[in-house]
Amino acid sequence: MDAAELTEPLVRCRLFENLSTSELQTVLQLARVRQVEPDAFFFQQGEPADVLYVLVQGKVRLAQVTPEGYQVLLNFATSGDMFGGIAALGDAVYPVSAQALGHCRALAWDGRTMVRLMERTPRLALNALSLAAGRIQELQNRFRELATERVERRVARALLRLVRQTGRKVEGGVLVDVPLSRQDLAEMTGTTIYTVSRILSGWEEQGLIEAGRERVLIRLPHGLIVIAEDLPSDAPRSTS
Amino acid sequence: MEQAQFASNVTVAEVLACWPQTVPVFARHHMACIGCAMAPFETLADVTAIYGLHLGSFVSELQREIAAREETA
Repeated sequence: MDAAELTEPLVRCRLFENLSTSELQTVLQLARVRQVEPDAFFFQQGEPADVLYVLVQGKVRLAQVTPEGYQVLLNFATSGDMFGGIAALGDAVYPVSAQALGHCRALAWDGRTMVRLMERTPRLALNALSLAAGRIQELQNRFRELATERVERRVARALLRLVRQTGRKVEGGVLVDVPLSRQDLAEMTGTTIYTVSRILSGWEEQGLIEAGRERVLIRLPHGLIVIAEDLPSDAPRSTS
Repeated sequence: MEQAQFASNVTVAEVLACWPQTVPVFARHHMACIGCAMAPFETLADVTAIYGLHLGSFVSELQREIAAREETA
């Protein structure tokens, strides 16, 4: 793999935003490339967190197992996303498992190496702080949704988060481009697979979405926004 | 480019990114476009249809806003 192929996701990763070319070069020189086969794990929840990753190719599923044994999908990482960032914060274990969806390639740094880089490059430390702050904000929003909002709205918002991250314009609508099961959506929204199925079927009947086995095509994007944002729905939803 | 052709090619996200001064226009019409996850996928023609607005007058409104801010800048 040539250097450009590795540099490109690095430039897009917000951890490395506004770093100079020479700083980026140093960061890249200290990275290793790690390949992970489909369904294999970058790391498992509870293992010592000593490596931080930036995904170059593929998609990664970040999930946590509750003390009761339920698996909860927390997020997907796509190309340019950082995961396992806790490795840079000293003695800790990974709070989630990171599983490869398809063939994955990532840049990897030892936590210690990343800390040294941060000491030398304040911009890098500030970026990490701002990423962590963003993550806290997102979790606060999700907490508020769970505590106060009806399930239909939570499912709509979960889909919109995925649109923001991986949405792709296709013939007939916007495709959420991750293999997403109803169980996944239930885990992301703190509800049951039965409730998710009922909601998705309802949306399908309204022509809002097409829910395949592991894909969701949003046929009327604005209809989903109306639900997610609780907008007045008197405006026509269809664009065609 | 023809106005109609332009409107069905340019996405709301592109308009808001290129001409942030148009934000008030979307706000005036109570449109949820600003910061919307779907803005990169919906064209001006799409959203005027959704909100029941006249495409031509909406585009003129955007153009007036862009021109006004460029003069003062």
